[in-house]
Amino acid sequence: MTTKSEGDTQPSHDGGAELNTVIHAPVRLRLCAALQMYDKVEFGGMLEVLDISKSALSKHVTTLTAAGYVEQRRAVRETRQRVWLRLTPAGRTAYHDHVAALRAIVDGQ
Amino acid sequence: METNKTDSQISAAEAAASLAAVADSRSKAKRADYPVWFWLGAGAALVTLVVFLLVPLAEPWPTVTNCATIALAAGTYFALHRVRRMRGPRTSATAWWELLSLVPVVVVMVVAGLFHRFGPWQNPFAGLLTAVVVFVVFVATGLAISTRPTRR
Repeated sequence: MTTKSEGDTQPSHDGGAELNTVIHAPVRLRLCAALQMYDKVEFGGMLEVLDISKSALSKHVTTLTAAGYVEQRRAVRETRQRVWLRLTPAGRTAYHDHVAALRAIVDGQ
Repeated sequence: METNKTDSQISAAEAAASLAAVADSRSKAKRADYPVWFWLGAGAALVTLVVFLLVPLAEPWPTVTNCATIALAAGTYFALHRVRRMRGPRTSATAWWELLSLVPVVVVMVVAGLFHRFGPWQNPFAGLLTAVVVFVVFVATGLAISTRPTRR
């Protein structure tokens, strides 16, 4: 089972809105925002959305996978192996909570 | 229950920028992964539809164009959703996006239809010209607003 890095997934809690430091990184936040819209997205399709290199995307996916927010599945389609990314239920909850926290910060301005 | 208050570790401006990035990513996800052939195929379906509506044809050509419209539209959309790398839309965003690309086309067709009906515009070439304009407008609109990666 995935393990969460100590300190990385602890929400920033100052008695107020809770931010998720794993998801808050700009690329990971955008990745979660895109994944949240679909049941699953192929790795190549996510490259098109985020417009980053394969190695950069792979690194961020690994971080989210280690936190238990994203799962990767390999499937063969038309003789090619493809990697599909999906937000886990914990990932969806964490993403929604993080966005709610961001909105709360903006609204509380 | 605690009320939300500004987190001292992130400013409101940073939070707003993050939310803007979320909106941008969602917008790009809606518009991504539409290959060029999709716009050409769907555009061809619109061409046959315009020909059916505006060009006076003798049988069996209206039936032929009608069938061609349905075949092209259905074939293009089924092929797209088979190869698209985003699966299982959780929101209606994809449907909205696909319909939005038709707005300029609808405008062109309404204007052409009005000219055809109320003006002295009975020349069949006018209908063919409208079909060409519709094709160009639709394909150009779709390609312009689709997400295109700059990185290779």
